Amino acid sequence: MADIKKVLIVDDSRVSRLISSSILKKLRPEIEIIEAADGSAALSIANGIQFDMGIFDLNMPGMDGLELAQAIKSQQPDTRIALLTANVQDSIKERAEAMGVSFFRKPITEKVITEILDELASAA
Amino acid sequence: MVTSISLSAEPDTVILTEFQLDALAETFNMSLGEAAAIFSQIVSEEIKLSVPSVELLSQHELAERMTATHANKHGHERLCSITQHFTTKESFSTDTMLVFSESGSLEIIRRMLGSASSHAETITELEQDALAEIGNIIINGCMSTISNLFKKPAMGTLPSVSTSTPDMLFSHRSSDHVLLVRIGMHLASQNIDGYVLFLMDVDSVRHFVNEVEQVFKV
Repeated sequence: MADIKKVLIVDDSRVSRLISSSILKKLRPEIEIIEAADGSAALSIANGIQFDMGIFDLNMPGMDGLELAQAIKSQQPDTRIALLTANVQDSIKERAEAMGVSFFRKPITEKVITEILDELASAA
Repeated sequence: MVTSISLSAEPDTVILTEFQLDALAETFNMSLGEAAAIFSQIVSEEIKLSVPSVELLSQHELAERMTATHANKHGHERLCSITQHFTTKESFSTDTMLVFSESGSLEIIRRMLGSASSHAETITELEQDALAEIGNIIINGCMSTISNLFKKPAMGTLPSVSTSTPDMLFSHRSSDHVLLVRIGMHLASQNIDGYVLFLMDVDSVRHFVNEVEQVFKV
């Protein structure tokens, strides 16, 4: 299983970021978590920091989570990305799959975050 | 299963056959079942669903209905709504709205946030954010089921939250008809009634019914 040291959480919902972060900290206290409220802020942060994993919401102001995933992957090809969204339309799942982005469904629970860690760690 | 459907639109605007109504009800039955399952995960408790009812109403009729339902000895109970607009290419568009009583909304938020929530009687900024996210999750669950069933991608806006009296809830809406899907969601510890409303104009209602017909071949 690959070592995950830095995780970027991007979600326009403060509550969602709060829940994701607290579960991640509980499960893996050694992981450094950095949060952003939209794609533009996330890209600025990613200019200076290499991330092992990104957990992105889909519907956000400005660029959506898949557009952000595309941009991050072009900057940091080794970063593994999970889309964590309430929008579970087949068309979105297909787009994510075509981009090599793992797809997970909200609501955010310990079970979902565990699945993300397991899948993305084994995908390295 | 839906056993109660009534139609109260003007006869010359939208006419639905019994089969169409049945198929429409089944579509919402599936999507609301999905929404309830998601709601159950949010509050970490089994949700008992009442039998859903589907009605087509004018905005005026709906405002009257909501006002009567939420009248109490102090006047009218305030309602919280979370709304997202969805469009599908060359088909229907809808404002999909999730409505709870203000007290019910606070209870749901506190279940979601736990110790991070306040004990105030009005909604704080963090709680408003939580409510938007709860609406986003439930409404998207509902609309994703419909989109997958119709095989038509639906583009949605970000959720907007408002709190108002029942008569003001629809005051700024332009659509003339409302597809009202009402479902009671009951927590074992307390009753919380939730409604999902689909606000569409007549053209969108027709397109929506056409999509349902194609799915169910009615």
